[in-house]
Amino acid sequence: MSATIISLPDQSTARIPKRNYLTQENGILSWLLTQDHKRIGLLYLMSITMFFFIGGALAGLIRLELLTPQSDLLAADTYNKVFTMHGIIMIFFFLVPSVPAVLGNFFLPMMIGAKDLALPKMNLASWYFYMAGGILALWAMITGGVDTGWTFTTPLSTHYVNTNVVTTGLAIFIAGFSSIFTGLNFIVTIHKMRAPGMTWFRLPLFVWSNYAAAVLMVLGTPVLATALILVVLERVVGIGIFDPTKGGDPLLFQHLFWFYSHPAVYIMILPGMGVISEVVSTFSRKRVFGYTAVAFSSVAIAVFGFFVWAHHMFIMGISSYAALVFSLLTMLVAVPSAIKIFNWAFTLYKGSITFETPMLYAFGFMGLFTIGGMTGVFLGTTGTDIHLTETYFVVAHFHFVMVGGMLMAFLAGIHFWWPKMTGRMYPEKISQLAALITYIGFNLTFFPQFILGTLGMPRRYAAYPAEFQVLNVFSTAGATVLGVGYLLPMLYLTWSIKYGKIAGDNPWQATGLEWQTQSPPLTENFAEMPVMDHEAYDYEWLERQKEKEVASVG
Amino acid sequence: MSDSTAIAHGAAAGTHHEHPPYLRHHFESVDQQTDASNFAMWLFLLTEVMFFGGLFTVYMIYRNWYYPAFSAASHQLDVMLGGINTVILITSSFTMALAVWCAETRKKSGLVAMLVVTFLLGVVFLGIKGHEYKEKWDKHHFPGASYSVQAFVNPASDPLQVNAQGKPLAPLAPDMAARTEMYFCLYFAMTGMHALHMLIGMGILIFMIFRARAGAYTEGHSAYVNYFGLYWHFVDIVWLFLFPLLYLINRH
Amino acid sequence: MSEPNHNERHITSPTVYFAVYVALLAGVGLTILASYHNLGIFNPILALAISIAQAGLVVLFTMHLKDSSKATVLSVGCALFILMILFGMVFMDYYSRAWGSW
Repeated sequence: MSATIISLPDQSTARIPKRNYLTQENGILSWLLTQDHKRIGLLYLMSITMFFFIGGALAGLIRLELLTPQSDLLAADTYNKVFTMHGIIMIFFFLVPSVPAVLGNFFLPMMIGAKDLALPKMNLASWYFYMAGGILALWAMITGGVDTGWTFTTPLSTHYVNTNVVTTGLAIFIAGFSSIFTGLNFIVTIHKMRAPGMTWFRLPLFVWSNYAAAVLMVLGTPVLATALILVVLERVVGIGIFDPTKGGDPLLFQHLFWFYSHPAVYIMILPGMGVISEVVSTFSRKRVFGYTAVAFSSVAIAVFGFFVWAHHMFIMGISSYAALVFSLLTMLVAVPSAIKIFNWAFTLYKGSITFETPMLYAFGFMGLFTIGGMTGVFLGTTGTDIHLTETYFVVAHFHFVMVGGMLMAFLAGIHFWWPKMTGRMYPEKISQLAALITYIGFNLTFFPQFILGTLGMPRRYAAYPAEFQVLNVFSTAGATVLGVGYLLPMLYLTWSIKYGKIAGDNPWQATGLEWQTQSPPLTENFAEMPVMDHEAYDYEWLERQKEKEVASVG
Repeated sequence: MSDSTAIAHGAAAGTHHEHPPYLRHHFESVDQQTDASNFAMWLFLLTEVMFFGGLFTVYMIYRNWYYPAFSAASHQLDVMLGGINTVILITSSFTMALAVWCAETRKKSGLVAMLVVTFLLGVVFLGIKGHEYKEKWDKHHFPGASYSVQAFVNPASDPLQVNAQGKPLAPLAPDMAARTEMYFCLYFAMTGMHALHMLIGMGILIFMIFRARAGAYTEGHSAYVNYFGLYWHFVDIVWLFLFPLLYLINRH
Repeated sequence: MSEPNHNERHITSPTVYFAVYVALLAGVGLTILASYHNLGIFNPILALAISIAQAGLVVLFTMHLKDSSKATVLSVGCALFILMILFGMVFMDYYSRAWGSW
């Protein structure tokens, strides 16, 4: 066993290695039956990209409909189906699996120095469950759609609509297994598969945040399964658990649903925060300020995430005493989130910052997530929530967190690790432009919605009073720009698979273990088992290594 | 820390250590593999805990709201049958534990015998459960359009609606009597979900009996029997909560 | 065992399993017996306490949690904690609804 040598080879002579995980085996079956975490990560990447563009097309329809105050492009009931399917696809089939199942799957084992996830077959099964759920959801959409909103709120979903609630509910139930399997695999892998010397406090923060998200997946998702099964049973056999005429309480469904779906917000954002930690540290050439605080803030977000779910239900009829408790607990979540933002800011302080694309996306994340998070405090306060809930303020709030935060983080991660995944660089200039377009388009789309919300425009309606039109036109125009911003990476990243500049092993000169092997990596990740002998993000240590290497070569 | 030193040790020993066939390529040692799989099995059971946790939450809320209805409806269940079933399930859990022991000490015929006994006890449990379901169905206590509250508004008409001293229970007001349907909803949902888990377990048991006859678990790699044992014991534990909560409300 | 490299796990002896089995049977008997006596509020509490004790025995001995890694023990504790959060906070809402508004 040799100690890891940070490899900083000459970029100009770099070659794509002949033997890597992409060339190991050929043929469609070698992909469909693969147990290699990297190939499964790519399978996930392709499928979630497909779902992202389906969900994005639905978002485009929503914005087009809202261009005019009347319900003219889409009839009101079609509009209901469109925003419901937009929400379901984006949340369950894009945001929840995005960073964990693609980047986590690919890089988590490499970051801890393992050959694979602990349970490769279960990993593959998780992709099949995901696809089965996804196809079932699409089938439900094609054969009539569902119009309950992604929240399946009872008694609307059980008694008042007659759309494909059962099919969609089962689709999400099935997709839930994929989420559980991924989370379970991550926890086991992080506990049992770390390389020698890789102690808990040498783990990259990406691993910490994925660990926290995995805990949420494992403990939260089954409760969603209970809630959905009860809704399905209600519709199929009328068991009456949420039926007021039989003594049931519709609100109980929301308790069970939000017990998962609020932590699900953290399932979506936590891995994204992990990406940002990696990117900010690499492109400031500094270790992450307050590593321990950032690591524990991930865990704290995961734990607090379970205490706050009823803030989605303040106006739904929960007791005002419970609302008080949940409101106070909600404020707690702001603390670990702020710890992260402040620590990233301190990481930047006196760093030698460069502005590659991932870093631009990371800056976008920090700004937009902060706005999204702060407006969450407005909504967590019971008094203001009564005015703002169910308006466009809420829509803007969670899009700032999910799209401005999570999607920016996902794109940051994709660009950051693209050289490692494919062995080739993305084109730098055009991708910087894409990051800028995304940022402008995003703000133009969603900032007007904050104003619309405070003015009182309700969400989930196809028509609205004429005085709201100006801001809605801004929003729709922004959505067009945003669409271009998302289409560009899709195009140039595909282009770069074949024509991109060859990246070499470590184009960013980063310290993470995943950069210390060839790109694209071997199927078994490392030629020999790595030994971790330094802290994560130890860029001072890296500088010393470089000096030594130069000295020995000279 | 302890994990990583274990791995380092395994890697150092790796050169002169022939790999048993059941060691997957990405693990360094059998210990690491068993540790990881065992931990994974526990995590899976924890997701099951949360899944049943959702159902128990529903039960808790409605039992508090409609206590008289739950108490009256609970008398429709046969404590004798429920008790027998509990004993059967505990026994099957015991035989499953013995199966694990047989696998660990490489007693092939003992392992097969114990797995078969576990399976048969599962069949008996489900048989009795099915008999109980049929009783409810015949008395129109299955939730739905044909649900009947007769036994609860007029307890004198039903021999089961009596207290421990044999005196008829007090009749329920019609609105509370209607809530007995909620009890049966939960009864069928919870025991049904439990029975589904048993069915899945018994499917795996059949598979394992065939593998065990071929000697799969008694040649050093007994881990699978152990993992399945964990699942089977978990299903047993769920029943240990279902039995008092569903059968034994206000029996005195 | 015979293979030197194969590190056998701790094997629980059948005596332990049998002792747990007997304790479980006693628990079932006690639950049924207690339910036929009027203990007031303590009827459901006692029934649940016995169930929890039984579950504890099974988890610790039959399922070998006692001999499992710290990570496993911690995970089980964590899940039970979150489960209590689910029960407790849902119950808090329903319980305090009866208090009416401020």
